[in-house]
Amino acid sequence: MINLLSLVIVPILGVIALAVDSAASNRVRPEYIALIVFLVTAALFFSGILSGFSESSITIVSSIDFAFTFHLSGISTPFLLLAIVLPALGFWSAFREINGGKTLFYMFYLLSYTSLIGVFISSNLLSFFVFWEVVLISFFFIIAFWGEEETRRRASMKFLIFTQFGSLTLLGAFILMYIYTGSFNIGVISAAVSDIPTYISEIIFAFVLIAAVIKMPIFPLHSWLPDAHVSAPTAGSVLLAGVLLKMGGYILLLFGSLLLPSVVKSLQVPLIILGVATVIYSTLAASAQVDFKRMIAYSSIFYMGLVFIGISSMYSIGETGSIFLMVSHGFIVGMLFVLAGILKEKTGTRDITKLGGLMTRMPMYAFFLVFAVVATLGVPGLSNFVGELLIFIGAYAVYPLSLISLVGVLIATNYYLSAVKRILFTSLNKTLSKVRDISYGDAIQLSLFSVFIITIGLIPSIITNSFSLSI
Amino acid sequence: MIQINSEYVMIGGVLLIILADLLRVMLRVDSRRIIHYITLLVLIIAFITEVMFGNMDVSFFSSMQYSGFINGFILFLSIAIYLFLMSDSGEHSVFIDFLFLFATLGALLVVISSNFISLIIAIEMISIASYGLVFFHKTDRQLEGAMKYVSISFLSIIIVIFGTSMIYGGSGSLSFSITSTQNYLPFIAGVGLVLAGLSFKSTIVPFHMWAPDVYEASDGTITAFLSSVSKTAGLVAMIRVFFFALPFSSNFVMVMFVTLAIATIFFASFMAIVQDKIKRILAYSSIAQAGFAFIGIAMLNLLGVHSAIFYVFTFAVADVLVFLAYKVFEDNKIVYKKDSKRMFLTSKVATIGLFVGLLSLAGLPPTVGFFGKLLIFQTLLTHGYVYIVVALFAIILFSTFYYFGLIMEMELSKVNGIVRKPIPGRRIKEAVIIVLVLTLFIGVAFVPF
Repeated sequence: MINLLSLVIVPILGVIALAVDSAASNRVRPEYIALIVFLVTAALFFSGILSGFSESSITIVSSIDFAFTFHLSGISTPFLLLAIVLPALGFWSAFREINGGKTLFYMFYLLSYTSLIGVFISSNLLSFFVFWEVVLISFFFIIAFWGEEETRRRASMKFLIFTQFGSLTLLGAFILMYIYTGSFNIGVISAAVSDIPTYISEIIFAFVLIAAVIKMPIFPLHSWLPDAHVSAPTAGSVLLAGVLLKMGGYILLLFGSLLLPSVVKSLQVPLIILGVATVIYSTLAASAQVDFKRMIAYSSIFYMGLVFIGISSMYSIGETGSIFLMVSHGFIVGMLFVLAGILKEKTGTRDITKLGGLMTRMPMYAFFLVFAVVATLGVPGLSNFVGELLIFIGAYAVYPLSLISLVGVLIATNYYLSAVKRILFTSLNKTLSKVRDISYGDAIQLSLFSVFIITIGLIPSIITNSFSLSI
Repeated sequence: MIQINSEYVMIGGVLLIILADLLRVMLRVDSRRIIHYITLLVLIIAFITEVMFGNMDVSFFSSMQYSGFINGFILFLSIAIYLFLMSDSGEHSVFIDFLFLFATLGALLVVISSNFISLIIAIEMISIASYGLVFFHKTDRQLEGAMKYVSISFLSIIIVIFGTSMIYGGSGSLSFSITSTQNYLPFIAGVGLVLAGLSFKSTIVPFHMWAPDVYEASDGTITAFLSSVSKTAGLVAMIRVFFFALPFSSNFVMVMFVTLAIATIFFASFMAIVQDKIKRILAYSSIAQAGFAFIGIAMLNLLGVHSAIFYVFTFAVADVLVFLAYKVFEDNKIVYKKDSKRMFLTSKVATIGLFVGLLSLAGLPPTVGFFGKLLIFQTLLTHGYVYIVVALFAIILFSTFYYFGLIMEMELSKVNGIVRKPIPGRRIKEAVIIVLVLTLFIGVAFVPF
């Protein structure tokens, strides 16, 4: 048995080790400390998967019911997989890209790592919120201090203001739950949820919905995401798209469809329509992008729109599909962002119109790019397919018109394939004649991503058996 | 049996300092260091006795439920501020030691006064000592700051005295235990005047306008004292008066108080955004914080008072931290927002201190400021003020914007053309900042209820 507390403690020890190391004028390179933390945490997690996790609880202040209570809810495990594995996979990008202020960068990176894990295993809402906000602050700094020079200040501030508003409404929802049930513990709240008057539970859901819509992000409140992605360093983008957006899906599932099913059910059709609008809007927006990273950012809004449709279908197949798609999209979009980062590093630009014919210069890169794009388009055998299929089945059963979002998949195929054609297969641009192929380190990193994508795609039951739709 | 209380220790300390200085002059010792050490020792002994024995309980003074907690953190913050003051220049005027102890003693007495007379005297003790603190600590605009402070403070205390006389006319007594049973018209007018007078001290809009000017004109350590200890005393006096002495439960009073509090928060936050100087931003943010604490008082019930007391604690610690950290930068000529580029390279510890303090003021976890805001929101939502909570969310976003704007321009690694001046007493200053940062992280364990 592995204690869940250890998953959070190990990265915090890493942060402390980094601080001590910095005081001792960096005898050990900060990268190595971070790497050790990732390896130890991943080892703990996988041995926990095999031998089971034990819960733990530390009460801090009993009068306001603040405790660090760690407990795996029914749906946590797949999210925990993302939170543990993706930062470790993104580490190689950070290793190559980050030059200034390394110690501080890895401190923030490990802080966001520990709190991402903490979010998915906390069952006390206050400790949940503490972790939720620490993720936000550390990401603000990762974008603001290690992002792209021209845009980083504006983008990080936009990110902070948008997501902080979501956090505050989420806090409002938590306090309302506390007032009407007398506890911040999710287990106690779900047992006493019938004590909450209907209009209060509607307010609670409205607050949770705003938080989720900003975090996922869904159509009217999405505009922070492309800016944040374009400015963030690659490792930051991987975490941002791979795990942070999934936090939005997680709270919508946990506090929406699992905790307050009757409220969600009454709002089902408007929510699905919102999801469809997001899907159509984001694919059209993505088609118009020439910046490859921005295109990926909009396409991840597209997939989160599908997830939103699946969750609001309130149908077990759709919800299962949503969780599945979140996991698979986490790996695929992480791989795509790593590829976009490499593209910028090798050619100096991410502008698709200025690229061309890289196939001849970078065959290994071409292989991984085509693989990632094919995976993201939902080819059977790779992971996205299963998730999309389940979501469409679930949504069709509830609201047949939601199949309009299939048009989105079609348009996605168009813009992704034409981008790949433009980058790889047209005649070689003369300025690019000295570009070198990716190193073995990059290839190993990308292969690790591919292993997860193929495994999940071929054996979907690994994911679907790991969770149950309950709190 | 005579008990030793922190207040007796402080009174003894004030007298001791006067005697010691007399002796120093008679023995022709030039160094004033010994007196500084005595002052520090008095503060520390007072803190220990406060923790061990609690407050005094004599005719005009009686402890209330959390006065031990409040006086404890007032003394703790005074020690931190005094250490900073000491490390700064090595030697300073003995007046400052005397006035510092005197003002702290006034703050302690405000918390436990149980009669309007003793309350007014205690408030005047803080005020008179504070004019001196602003004036005697050398900056280039000390006289302006002190004059503004004196004139506004006189006005406020006159209003309080006038209101008190009306209360006396209404109830025939000034003891809190008797006034708490009265209900009579001139009496209520008096209450309004007392509110206005106390609002000056705790910087509630529209009686806040002296604060940014005085804060800007005074030295960083003194600003820290004014914005935390002195303001804590003002807010606690309000709790004492409006919760213990004159317990209204009328809806009208509640709406008026909430309106004042919201106006304070909004006005101060909007003003903070348009400021250019870092110290003025911090000053306006400190006004907004007082507004948040005032919301708790405005609820006029036990839950509200709990949250207000805890909120006062959170923002007092955070305010001391940001002003002390800013003091380090001020000495290095980092005055405007655009100068914040040099912050990290000037002092890493002070930057981290400033940042953690701002996090706490903005109400972000894991700092204690979050739990303060949590209790305030909980109080508001318990009373069904969902709209006010949503409005506060909006204003917190505003404040997040200007708080983080302060550190956005910071450079982490490039060093070009930056001359680092040695910081006097660096070790002590950094130690104080680190202790305060830790307090902000573990402060939630001190929730007194």
